[in-house]
Amino acid sequence: MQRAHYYQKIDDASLKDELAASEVYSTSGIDAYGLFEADGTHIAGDLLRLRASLPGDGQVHYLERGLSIALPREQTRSSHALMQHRDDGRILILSRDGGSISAVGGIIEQALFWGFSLTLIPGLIGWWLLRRRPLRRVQRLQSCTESIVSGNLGERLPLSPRRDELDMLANAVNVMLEHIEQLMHEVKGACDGIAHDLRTPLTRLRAHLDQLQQLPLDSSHAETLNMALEESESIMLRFQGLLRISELEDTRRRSGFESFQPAALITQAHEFFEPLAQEQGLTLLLEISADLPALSGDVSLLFEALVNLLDNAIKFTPEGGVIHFRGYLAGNSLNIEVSDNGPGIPEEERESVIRRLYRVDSTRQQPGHGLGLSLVSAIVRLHGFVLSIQESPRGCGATVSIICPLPEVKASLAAPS
Amino acid sequence: MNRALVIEDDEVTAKAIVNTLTSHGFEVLWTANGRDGLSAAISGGHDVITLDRMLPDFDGLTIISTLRSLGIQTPVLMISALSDVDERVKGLRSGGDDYLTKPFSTVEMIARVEVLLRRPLAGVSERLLSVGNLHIDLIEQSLSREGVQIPLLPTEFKLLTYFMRNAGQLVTRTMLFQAVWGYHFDPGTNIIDVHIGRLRKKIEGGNSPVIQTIRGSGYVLASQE
Repeated sequence: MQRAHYYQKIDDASLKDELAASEVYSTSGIDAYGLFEADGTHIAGDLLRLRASLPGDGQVHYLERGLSIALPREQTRSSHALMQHRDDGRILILSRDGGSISAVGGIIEQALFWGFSLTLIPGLIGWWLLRRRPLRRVQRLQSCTESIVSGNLGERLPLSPRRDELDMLANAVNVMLEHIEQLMHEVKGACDGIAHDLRTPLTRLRAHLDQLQQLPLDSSHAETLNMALEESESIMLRFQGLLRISELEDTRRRSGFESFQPAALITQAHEFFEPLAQEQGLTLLLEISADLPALSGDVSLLFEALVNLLDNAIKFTPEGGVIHFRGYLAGNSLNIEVSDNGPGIPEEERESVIRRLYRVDSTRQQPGHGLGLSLVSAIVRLHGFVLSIQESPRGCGATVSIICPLPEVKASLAAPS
Repeated sequence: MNRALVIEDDEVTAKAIVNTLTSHGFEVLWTANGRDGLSAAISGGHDVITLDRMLPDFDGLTIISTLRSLGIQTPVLMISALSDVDERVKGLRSGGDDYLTKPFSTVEMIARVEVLLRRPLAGVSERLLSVGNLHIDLIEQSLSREGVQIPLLPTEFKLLTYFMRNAGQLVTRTMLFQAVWGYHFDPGTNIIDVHIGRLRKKIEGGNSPVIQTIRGSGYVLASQE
């Protein structure tokens, strides 16, 4: 542009010499000019031909393809060029070759590309290699936490000899676990202590009351005594229930497990409860699928769980109701299900009913101590089964199921890991 | 007169046991520690022993296994603060005849002691049981009254057998549940009552023995003579 202004000031006659002179100073191969007659005949300069696509407006234009040029090259690559109509009718074209600049650009581009790929590819490989080890460690940590969650509180997260961030974290968690275990021990100790401390006075209280009962008493005293005896009986029941639950929550206790036939257990529970249901004007229907496979568990505890479920169902179903007691296979598990058409358990209370001593508000006037379902839940958890509470399919009442995953399924789940 | 040996370290509990046994016509010897208890048991002359599972000096299990290894077969009722099923199994496996967990009612305790006294000797198999005009054939699993068969369900038959073995004797709900259904927890009042009610209806009539309910305690099969 500057060159164009300069040449514009020079008069037409001396232009040719001036151009030739400037050629000496210009960077050869980059700057070029061409002087043409109005009809396009070449007069002077390295540029040999007019280009139709270049407008003669005296402005700089970018040309994708080069202009014809004398040696050293026949054509410039891309270039910036300007065409000017002189007053005397000659045409001047000035061009600056963009080729070398774009060549440099290309070199830089290539350098960037190679540089980038040379760092990126080893980087990716390195990332994958480096990541493998921590990932394996995290997987170990994960399996370890799972074992802790499942009740194995003595377990600690593994530490590596490297003492890195992961180890710092694991160490912090281990210290925390240590604390939790200690607290659990203290709580359990306190519970056991309370239990033990209460056992003896309760035994004594019972003994005193029993002794009173053997004395000749007048009828009003005897009545009061009977009430006291009944109360102490109910305290003892609750107390023993609590103790049993805390025993059961110690989930490592699986020594009493043996293989048994669930169908026989279900049938026995049905036979046990059928007379009571009949007396209360209820129908207790038994449905057992054929060929239920054997399960492993503590039969006595499971029977107790079923007794509690059936007892609840009978307690809460109004006269004339129907209770379905079913044992069937569903997918990979065996379900034992008690489904009644009583008032049901509101959805928001289903979690709470398995807590100790919790009772649904509307049932407070019913006899019972609110330990039934939490006992069932403890028993079910001990076995690794799942307790599910749902609305009965008939739209009212509760369906409580014990879902027992079948052993072969457990085995096949365990195999790949 | 039956003689009982009470091995129990807690004085109040021991006193309650002793008083109850005495009022049921037992002659009682009380020892407050394992050493004295063991020597008293070995010297013999007792019809039944109540044994605390946890004593200051000896473990109850040690005492009982020592007794059994010496060939002393006196029935033993173990009384323990350990209610765990495992503990019960341990207690029974080491030679205890019955197991009672604290806190217990003395009614339950005496009922169990009485039943232990009546326990048929091991190895003696009986076929027929009779109380009043009721006759049971244990092999054919049948009940008859004056030559007439009375059909019973298997559970009812087991219940009646237990009652007839312990006729005139108080049996508690948990004892029945244990003997007939084979489980060691308290299933609640109602359910056993209903089963007894059914059985009662089947055997009532004439001057047959009746199952009486003793409020707050249990049941007794009593002859009407």
